[in-house]
Amino acid sequence: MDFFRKCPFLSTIVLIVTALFIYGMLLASKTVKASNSVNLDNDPETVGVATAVQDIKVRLQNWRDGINERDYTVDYMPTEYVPDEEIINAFSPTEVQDDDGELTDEEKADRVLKDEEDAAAAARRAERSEKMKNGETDEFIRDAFKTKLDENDSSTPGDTYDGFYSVGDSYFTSGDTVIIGDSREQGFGMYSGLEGIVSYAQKSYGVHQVFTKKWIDSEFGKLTLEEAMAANKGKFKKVYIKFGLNEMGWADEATFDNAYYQLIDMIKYYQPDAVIYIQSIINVTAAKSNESNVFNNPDINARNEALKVVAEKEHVAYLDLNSVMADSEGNLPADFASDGIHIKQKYMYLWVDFLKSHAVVRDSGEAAALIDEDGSYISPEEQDEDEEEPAEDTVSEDSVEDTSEEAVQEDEDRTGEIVDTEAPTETQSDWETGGGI
Amino acid sequence: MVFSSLVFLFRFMPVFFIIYYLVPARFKNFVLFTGSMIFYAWGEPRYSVLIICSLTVNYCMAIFIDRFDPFLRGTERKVLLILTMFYDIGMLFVFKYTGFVISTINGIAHTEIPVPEIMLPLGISFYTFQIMSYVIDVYLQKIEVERSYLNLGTYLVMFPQLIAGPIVKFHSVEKGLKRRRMHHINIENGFRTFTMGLGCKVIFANSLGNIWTACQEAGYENISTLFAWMGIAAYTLQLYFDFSGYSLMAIGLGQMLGFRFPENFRHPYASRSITEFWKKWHISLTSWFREYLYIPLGGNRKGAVRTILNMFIVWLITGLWHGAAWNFVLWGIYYFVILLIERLFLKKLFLDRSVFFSRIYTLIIVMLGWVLFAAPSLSEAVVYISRMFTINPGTDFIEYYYTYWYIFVLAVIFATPFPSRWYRKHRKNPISFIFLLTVFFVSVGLLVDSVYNPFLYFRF
Repeated sequence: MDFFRKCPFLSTIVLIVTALFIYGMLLASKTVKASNSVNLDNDPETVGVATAVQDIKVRLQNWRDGINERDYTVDYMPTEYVPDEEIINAFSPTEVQDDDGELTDEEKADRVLKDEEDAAAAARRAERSEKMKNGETDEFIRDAFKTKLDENDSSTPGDTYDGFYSVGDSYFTSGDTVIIGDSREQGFGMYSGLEGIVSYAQKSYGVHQVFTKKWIDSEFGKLTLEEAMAANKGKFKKVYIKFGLNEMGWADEATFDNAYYQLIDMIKYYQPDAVIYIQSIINVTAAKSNESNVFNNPDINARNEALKVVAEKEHVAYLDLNSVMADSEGNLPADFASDGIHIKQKYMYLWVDFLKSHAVVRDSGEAAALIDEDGSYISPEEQDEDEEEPAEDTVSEDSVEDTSEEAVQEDEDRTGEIVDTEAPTETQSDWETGGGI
Repeated sequence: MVFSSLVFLFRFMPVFFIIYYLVPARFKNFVLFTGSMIFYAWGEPRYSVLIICSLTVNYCMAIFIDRFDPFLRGTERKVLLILTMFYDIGMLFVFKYTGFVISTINGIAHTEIPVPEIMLPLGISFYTFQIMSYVIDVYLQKIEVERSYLNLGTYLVMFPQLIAGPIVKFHSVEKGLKRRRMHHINIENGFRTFTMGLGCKVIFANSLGNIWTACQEAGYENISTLFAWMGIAAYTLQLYFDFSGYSLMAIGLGQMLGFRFPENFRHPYASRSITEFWKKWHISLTSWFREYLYIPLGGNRKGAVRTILNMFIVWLITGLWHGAAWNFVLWGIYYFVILLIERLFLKKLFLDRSVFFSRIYTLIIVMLGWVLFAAPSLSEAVVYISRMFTINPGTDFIEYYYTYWYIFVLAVIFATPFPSRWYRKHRKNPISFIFLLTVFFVSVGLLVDSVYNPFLYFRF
């Protein structure tokens, strides 16, 4: 008591910390059920108190945001997503405004013109698609753009698609591509040099927060991902998902997988026409991997294997980014990330090129349309003459090479190649002209 | 181990202090010595041997030096001192500068000598300087030689200042080592100081560090003008809070142990000249260089030319002390030139006359200095400075502006002397009690959040 009077600050801290320690121990022994995103692994870094603080923080945040946590802990298999009635009602277009009367003649003319253009483009696409279906050129073109996978590339297109194809910038920049994920995906959105991608990626965003965390700015205020998907129902045709690093601390892998299943089911419901890609968790650098017993590459690889199963069960594409980002020992090269985790802008082109050479397309018509309408594409003849650089491709010179066989061999000592040759530097300057940032 | 880690806060610190306070006074040095060695060996057990070697060599040499009578056997004393310095500087050189020297030779002579990969032992620059000051002081008869190996060892490896200073001189802890009184006021105030340091490090330095990291990730050649300025401003504040926060934590822990460490930072960014800045930044290091290098070289008493030469040597070595690379050398010379200009005319003619412009001038010079300091190479520093002074439009800074503007504002306020002045007057005020409580738990909350906790001076 005397000590408390003489050292009020120290004793207050000691009391609170002791209380936290006891609470942390209760959490660790599962006497008290911890919040979902709290790591209960026996990680020496988490010192009882830390577990308690994390748990209290999550609970406070949930309380502030009015969130009831979803329970992911039951054994979950892919099932139908049960849509939230409230959300559907909130974002369904109840009253379609008929603004035609207020439009000036000029605007009307514009609108008509635009409609005509759209119709014409659609007709062209249909025609081409028809041609492709009947003519021999179809298979030829499809084969020319079909990506031959590396030996170490374990990407799978999903059983509803026949393989990966190479596409151009327009595949991403047509306004119907969305990326969802954590800070590394956010970095992709910022530094890929591809404009028009909708980014629902944010630092420290976790797969378990997609139904609960309100952060996406919209005309309706801050939305959760679920709400954003409902508000943009049917708008997206390509969905790239990349979570995982923030969730490495989760002890229970099933929880992580189940969160992923629910996310994909939800996206499928609101974006029925979309192609969904699950991107693997990119490995961290060797230094980072060795120093941390949470963010290490063996554990990341295990999670990626699990993700592959998720993709398989959900019939969606799985993209093995580590086949291009990691070196032969499975580490992210030290030069790629100054903090060991986030990919530098300089090396983002590898990721971009990988996505460009790993697109799934629904039918030959779609493939042909993509190829033809995008000026940056090489014709099959050029492809035969071997790896001519596409004239207007502002981002990369490697996208074509990826499909050629030489690339397969070069890939084996890619790390060395990147450091030694001038290729990245050239790409760098290309970024600037392309307005990369 | 660093102070701002969960392992230190919730494992090492409680266990250590409980034992330390419970054991009788005569065992306290032993507990402190052992605890410090555990603290040091936690990350890099290999190099504990090095610190024990350094301690043993210097302990013996000081006793030998003391054996010889200063009037009759002056030469022997000098030889022994030179031998000791040779060992200390030699060790520092081998472990810190080998790679630098070899790669420089390779660069100049176009040879292909393989550069050995030597990991820098934790805190070697700090403890080497500390033990050197002890031996020199024994030689100069400023202090009595320490006959107890344990006492000298406790002085050298005492965990609060072991890794990143302040560089404590032997005479300031001498009495405490022999006999110290634990007083509850010191324990309370020490813990308060520690909490403030923790807040500086975790709340300010770590968050501001993200902006600078973002600048580096984007690559210096890509960033816009505003982002370049924002980045270096963030780095300027980060470095200060990181280092002064660590010093505060060390001072606080020292006080809790029953020692009194010297003040290391005195709001340097509020200075009105670079001369003043260096009297307030990392005081224990600058005073070390002053006492053990500048003054023995003759200081300013041997004519103008020698004074300038002495300044040049001091700043060259100050630069090299901070890191084994050419940009640190240039950084040292940069300060030599500016201090010289200030000494010659700038201070009297200009700086003393305008309060406003002198502050702006100091801040800009210091920020440019940090560019040299932080850039991975000389050419990158040039690129960065050119991005700062050419017009490069861009919106890359906006995201960071919205995320961190309030941290910036708070950091700037806390870099001025006003908050600590207020605190000193209102120590017993319940507001300061609640404020510190908040600081502690916000820091813990942030630490739990981020596994990333770079400590900038960690490898020095």
